[in-house]
Amino acid sequence: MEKLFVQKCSNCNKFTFPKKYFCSECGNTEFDAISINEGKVEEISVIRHMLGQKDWKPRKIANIKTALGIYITAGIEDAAQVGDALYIYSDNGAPIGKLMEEK
Amino acid sequence: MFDPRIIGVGQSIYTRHPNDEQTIQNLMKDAVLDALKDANLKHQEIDGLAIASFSITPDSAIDIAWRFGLSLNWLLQDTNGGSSAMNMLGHASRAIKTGDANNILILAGDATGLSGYAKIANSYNSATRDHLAPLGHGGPNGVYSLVTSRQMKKYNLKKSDYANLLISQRNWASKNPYAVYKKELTEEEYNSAPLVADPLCRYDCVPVVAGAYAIIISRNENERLERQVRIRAFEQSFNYENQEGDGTATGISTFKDKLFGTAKLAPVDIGVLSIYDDYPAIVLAQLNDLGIIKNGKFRDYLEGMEQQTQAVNTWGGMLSAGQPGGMAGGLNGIGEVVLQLQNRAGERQLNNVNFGIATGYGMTLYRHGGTVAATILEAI
Ligand SMILES: [Zn+2]
Repeated sequence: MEKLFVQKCSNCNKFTFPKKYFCSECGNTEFDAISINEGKVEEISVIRHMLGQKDWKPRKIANIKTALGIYITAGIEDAAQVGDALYIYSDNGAPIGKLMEEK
Repeated sequence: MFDPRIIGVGQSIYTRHPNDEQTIQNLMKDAVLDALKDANLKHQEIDGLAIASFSITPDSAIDIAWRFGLSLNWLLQDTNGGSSAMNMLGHASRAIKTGDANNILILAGDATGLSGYAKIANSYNSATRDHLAPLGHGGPNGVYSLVTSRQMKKYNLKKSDYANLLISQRNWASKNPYAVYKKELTEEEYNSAPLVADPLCRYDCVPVVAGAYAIIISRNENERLERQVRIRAFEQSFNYENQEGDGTATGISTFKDKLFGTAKLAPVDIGVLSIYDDYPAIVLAQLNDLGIIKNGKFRDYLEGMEQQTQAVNTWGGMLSAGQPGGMAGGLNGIGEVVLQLQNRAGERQLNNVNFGIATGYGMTLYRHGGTVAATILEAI
């Protein structure tokens, strides 16, 4: 599991994803990479059909509110539902959310 | 300064399953012939071309000019997807005002086929290619399924509340000879339709078709027409909130007051609306931003749609007539408003329409579309 990194503007501290070259808030071009570890499911969808693919197996995607406050779209591979807390990681740059284990 | 007129519209057949002859060039040729005839112009009188299409690759606008035998003073190729038509209309109108061209052909179309469309959807932009497609996000269906869920939450809507929008557009489509779906759609059919990307069902997702559409804008009037059409107001918005909003509002919210202010009109004055309809939720979002839906009362508005008293997407929209690419779909919306204003909409003709709105919405960047545009057209 790789970490998922977002950018934090080194001038105004605004977070953003995916990669930007100028900060939309202040125009700064320097960013720090910050890893996102946690988020919460806001909305979820099951992609049941894929154009041009006959043997498609349904997959889930979700809108995740991250602990940093910004939203990302992530793949869901387990039973996570709206409201659940997730671990967030990256699969080759694509964000994936995974249910936090019961403590 | 000349005040340009939209003097002709034309289109090709729309088809779900194009045959070998229905290439993008042949479909565009049919649309151009139809528009030239409608505008009462000779081919040689066209001196400007604006074009938008995914399918002409590897060709560009100049290749189409060459292959179509057009020698021009003005040329534009647009890449703004669902708001390409509007962007081209704006640029073409200004080119005529400044005297850069006299008769501009605005042309759009696509014939990618379903697999071609899937390929475009997965590498629509680098953000989609890198961060969404690997998730199996299903192209725009996945993106707008999440936007639709947010809209339902925010405005307290049930999935079945959307039925009237689809039923209404299907009723209009039944009067459009070019529409690919004309058969009546019932509430039961809508509510029991298979889901594509929850909560979106089959009827919420635009059917991709092969087809082309063309309009001609000119410094001269078309003397054959009893009513001329001019642009009364025109506004656009690009990347208005850096994808940080929830997608339930569009960039129209940034220019609505200016649009109506320039036109010296109010939403109530608008008799016909072509609202870009890649998804029902986006139609409602735009209607809300335009002030057509009042006080966020989405359900009231949807209930009223049952009577078809709201003249929204009177050609059936892309959801029923078909999406010949978003670019031509946007152009079809403009063309429909023109036909309605000129009392030339056949069985679909509305009574006493003097002003109409057409919008464009497109370019899904990551969470929703990044471009939106609207024009108020006027019959004179
Ligand atoms: Zn900044």
